[in-house]
Amino acid sequence: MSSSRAENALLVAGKTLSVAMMVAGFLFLLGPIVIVVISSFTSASYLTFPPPEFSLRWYYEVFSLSWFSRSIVTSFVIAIIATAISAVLGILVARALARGTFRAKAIVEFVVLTPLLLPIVVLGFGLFNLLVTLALEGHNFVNLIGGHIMITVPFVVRSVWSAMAGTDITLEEASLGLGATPFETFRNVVLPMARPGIISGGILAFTMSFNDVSLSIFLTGPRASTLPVEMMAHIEYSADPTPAAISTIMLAITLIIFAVTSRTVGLKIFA
Amino acid sequence: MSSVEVRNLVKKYGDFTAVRDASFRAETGSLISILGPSGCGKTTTLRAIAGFETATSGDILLDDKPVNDIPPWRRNIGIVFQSYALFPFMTVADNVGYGLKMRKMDRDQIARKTDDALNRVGLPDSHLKYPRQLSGGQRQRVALARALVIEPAVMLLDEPLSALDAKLRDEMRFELKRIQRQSGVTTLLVTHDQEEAFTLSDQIVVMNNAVVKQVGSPREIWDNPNCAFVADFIGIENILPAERTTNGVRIAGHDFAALSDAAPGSDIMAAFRSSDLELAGDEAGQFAGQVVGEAYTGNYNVYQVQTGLSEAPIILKTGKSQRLSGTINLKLAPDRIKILERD
Ligand SMILES: Nc1ncnc2c1ncn2[C@@H]1O[C@H](COP(=O)(O)OP(=O)(O)OP(=O)(O)O)[C@@H](O)[C@H]1O
Ligand SMILES: [Mg+2]
Repeated sequence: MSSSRAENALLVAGKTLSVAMMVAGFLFLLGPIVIVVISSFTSASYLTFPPPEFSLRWYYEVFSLSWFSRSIVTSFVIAIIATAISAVLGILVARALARGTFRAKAIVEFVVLTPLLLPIVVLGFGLFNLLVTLALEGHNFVNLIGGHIMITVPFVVRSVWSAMAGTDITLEEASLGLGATPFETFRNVVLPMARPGIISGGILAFTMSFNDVSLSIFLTGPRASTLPVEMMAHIEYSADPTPAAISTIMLAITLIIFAVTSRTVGLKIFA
Repeated sequence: MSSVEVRNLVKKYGDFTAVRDASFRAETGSLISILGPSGCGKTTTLRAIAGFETATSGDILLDDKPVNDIPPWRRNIGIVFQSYALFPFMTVADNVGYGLKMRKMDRDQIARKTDDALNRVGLPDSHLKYPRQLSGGQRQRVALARALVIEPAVMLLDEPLSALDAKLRDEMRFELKRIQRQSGVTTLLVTHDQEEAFTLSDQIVVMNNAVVKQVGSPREIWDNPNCAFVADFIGIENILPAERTTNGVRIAGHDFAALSDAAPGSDIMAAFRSSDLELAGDEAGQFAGQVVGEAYTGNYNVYQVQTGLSEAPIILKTGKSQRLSGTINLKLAPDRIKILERD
């Protein structure tokens, strides 16, 4: 009796502690973001917290900036293309890693996952030098897409791979036994089973691409530039609250994409 | 519907031989079981028939035609996996209709056949449920319906009842038999449960250590196991080393009359069931023993009896009203002694 009471007390203490840690985590994580979001609605011409008065002044300002509308479209297009391509590549590589039994598996794993460990700045600098050597640095749009695929593929591979590794291979055999060809089996069974991994990998890839600065800064140029890079440039020579407003917009976009995806496809994952 | 034949099947994984020279045949419409302990190569054999494993050597024949080069998706074999392998993201109806869809059947026809198959397995109104919303027994029925609905030439079942609890297992055993009889599909059942094999099968293939030990009807195997392994596996308690004599066997110096055509002098094993020993009066007994252990179950009593036949005590079973103790005299009818090859 008393031992079970002690166990209960321990359980309660454990739960309290983990809730406390979660709250602390959220505060640290969300604190700065909340401050940025609130300050973006300021009426003053400089950043202060709390704002003296609320207004949408800086949002009007942002939408009148020509570089903003240009680069947000570019960012979107690049993120969508990069996500689509890295999803396809990621699924194929993850499939090979999850089910294949080939010699070069360790090498493929290494090559594909290394970008996860490399500082992205280093990767960007290397890529930039390579492009200059090949005299290709002018193709900003293509280079941005290529670079983004390099950094997003590992994330798709990781999450799709773990989803695939966890699924029962007899499901595929069941499909083959019922008359489905290997291709039909891939489409009808393997992909749906890996769907949670594909969705989370896709969301990760999109947000990485959409928000990236470290790599994109080496690849942008007069022909194409992304929103975060343009924003960095703007911050360098001006201290007005436009970056706060842009940050809030980017945050909202990321959240909306996340919410829409989980609403439309995500909630059916486990059905 | 077709016959299935496995001819000299060998399956090696590297240096390890999972199936060694297995041969057996299931006639059209019959139910054949592969019975054996864990790891003896049952699933491997089944997977070779399904086409998921390529035979190292030997042939798989459906309707007397070799199918070694035909991939699984063209063999038209219905498979029920031990884990059922239902597609978790599809409804029951979609699971059952999957094979028909792959055969490019039109939707009305798929719906009709799916209904029919689900009725046959006794699940008339679960079409829109997902597998996780079903009980173990219901999942099993869906798996069965999914395999049957494609009207396969052959149905393969890998331990289909092992995931069910004892009561449900008994029920499903009869269901399985009924469904197999009604559909008339040639069926190959893998099991390590001898009762299951004996109650369901027309033929039983007993395997051990990658080798087919005996193939026969339940009756043949029950009455005439051909080796010590099979005898032991079907629950014959007393299996003793013996020697063949001209008209019987000699066990540890004791001669017994027995029916056999093995050559005299050859080393064999003699086996008899605990219930085949008879108690005898002083003069009619063939050998004496001392009761050294006893256990009372509901319907009968089991005794360990130390005799001169072997070092370990032999096992004797009596009706529940018959209690034994001390020294007893025993005899064995000639037709109760089974003569087995040594393994
Ligand atoms: N892919 C494989 N690679 C290597 N060895 C394997 C492979 N598949 C099976 N084996 C081995 O082959 C032997 C037979 O396996 P199998 O699955 O056929 O046994 P089983 O009779 O079905 O046993 P159980 O009743 O436990 O299911 C086992 O020793 C197993 O370890
Ligand atoms: Mg098995």
